[in-house]
Amino acid sequence: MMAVFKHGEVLLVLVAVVAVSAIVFNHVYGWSPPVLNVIYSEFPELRGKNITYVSEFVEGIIREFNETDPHTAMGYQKLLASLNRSVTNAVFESLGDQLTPFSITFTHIIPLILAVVFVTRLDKLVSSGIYGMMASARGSKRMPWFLIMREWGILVVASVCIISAFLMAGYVANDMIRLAATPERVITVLVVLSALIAAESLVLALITTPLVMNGKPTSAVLTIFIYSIVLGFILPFAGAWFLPAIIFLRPADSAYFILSYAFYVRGGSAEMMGPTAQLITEYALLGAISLAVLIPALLIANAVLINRKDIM
Amino acid sequence: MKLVIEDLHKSFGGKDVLVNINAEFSGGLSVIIGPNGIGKSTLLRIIAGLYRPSKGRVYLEGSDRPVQELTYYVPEVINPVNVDYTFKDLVKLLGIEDPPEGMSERFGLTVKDLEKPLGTLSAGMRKKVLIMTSLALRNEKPVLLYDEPFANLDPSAVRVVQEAILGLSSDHLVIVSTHIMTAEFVRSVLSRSASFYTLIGGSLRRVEESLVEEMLSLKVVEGPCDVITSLTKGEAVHSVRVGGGVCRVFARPSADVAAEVAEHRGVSIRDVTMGDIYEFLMGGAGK
Repeated sequence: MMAVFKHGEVLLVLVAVVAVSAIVFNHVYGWSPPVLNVIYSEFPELRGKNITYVSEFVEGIIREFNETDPHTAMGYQKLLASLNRSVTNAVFESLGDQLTPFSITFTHIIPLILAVVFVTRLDKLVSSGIYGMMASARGSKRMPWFLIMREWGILVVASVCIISAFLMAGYVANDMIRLAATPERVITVLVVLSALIAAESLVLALITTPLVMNGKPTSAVLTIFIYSIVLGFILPFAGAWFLPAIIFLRPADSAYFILSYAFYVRGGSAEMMGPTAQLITEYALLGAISLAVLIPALLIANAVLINRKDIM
Repeated sequence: MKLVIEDLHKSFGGKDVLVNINAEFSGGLSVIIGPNGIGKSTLLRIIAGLYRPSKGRVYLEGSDRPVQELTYYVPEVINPVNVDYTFKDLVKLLGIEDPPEGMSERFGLTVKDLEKPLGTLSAGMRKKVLIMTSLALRNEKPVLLYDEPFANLDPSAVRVVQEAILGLSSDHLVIVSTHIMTAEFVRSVLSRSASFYTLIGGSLRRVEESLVEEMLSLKVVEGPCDVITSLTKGEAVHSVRVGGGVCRVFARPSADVAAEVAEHRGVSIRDVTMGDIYEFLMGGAGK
């Protein structure tokens, strides 16, 4: 099995294929399925119309909002409130209502694949003997930050910032940009979601790092797959009972919901909170979740590493 | 500073590799010889803190710091497959600030070589890179462990590495595991009052330096056992039965014996090589 994953480059190509597919899908489909469902539920007259018509209709409502007093742009308010009410319901009632298998696949396949690439790169380091030399030179088996940054940075810079930005731009951000586009909002969505996908991948990678260090890279890859299947496919459909676990283990999901909720809050109290304050609030919220996920993961992974029996 | 190994035991999957090892290394150079797969690398990795012993402990007498902080382990090889690190990357990973000037020239490596991924270098060049890292870390690491440092090197590189290791042993505690040594190196080691150890059957035993010294002063007489026995009667110091009716005797043959040897077909007389000493130490012998 590992023979397939020996070359991280192959996986990066795979990610690129997935990303391009998502962009093409999005281009053809116009709106992501969850958002489209909301649009249809609020504007049943749009059902059966072609996607260009739907897009123009929604964009017309947004134009109306931009050109007139927000309080009188009822079409936009109705659409936005409806969309975010659904999202909020999804958070509190059932994740499965909002997340379709499509969105789960495309928002989580990147962390999954990146984690496998990270594991294979780490495996190369350990099996080549270089990690052992490094541990000896540094007098500690602890994985140093600069190595995480180097190994992880390669993937983050090369993959997340480019591919997931494309993917997000093509899938999630597209909806948000169309519904509430401001330059800061677009940048927030892209940067925060990309960073959170990286964080989720890192959590996955760190969970499996001890297995790699113990010379079991195949087990590490299997762990990632099992993790993905359980947390990515089974739990979201099992309902909101598992929300705390998902918030901790799936930052990308959390980000999606929190961002959506933040949009809702903004829509409902635009005059009460300035745009900068909103942005800071959202960043702070998302930053706190990232840290809450990353710091324990790093501490646990390093604690396990230090106590590894044999490294070489 | 003294490196102490106390009741060390290591097993992998229930198989004992090192059994009840006790030793003290007190500076200078120590050479551990033993066949492939006998546990030399395992022992060095335990000393370096990379492997955890199943039982026992390793510590530095005269230092409060853990042994792994003061020790640097140079592996026998790094696997070239998909290693995209260059020497410069390696230097950063190892936390080396300034590699000593002129080091690469000494090892016959060009600036271009140091900028190539390690995976694209030849086995010998990679070995030189590994040795260079230990020289670069010599100020931080008073204990240096070399796992088969002469493997994959050409004769001139072997000499350079031997000189480097001998130089380091003047102010470092250096442990070398090897089964490749030139007689010249052994003589240099002996002149520095270094120690030899054998690792056989999971046990580490110290070899008397006088024994190695004596063997280097002997000649090897080899041939059919019956002829060898009669020829070297009274002059054999050590003997080894090679097999197939052939015997090897370490002796100080007189001129008469040398003349007689010349008359016998299939009997030879020559200087002792390290290979002879290695086989003698590994295979057991009779006096």
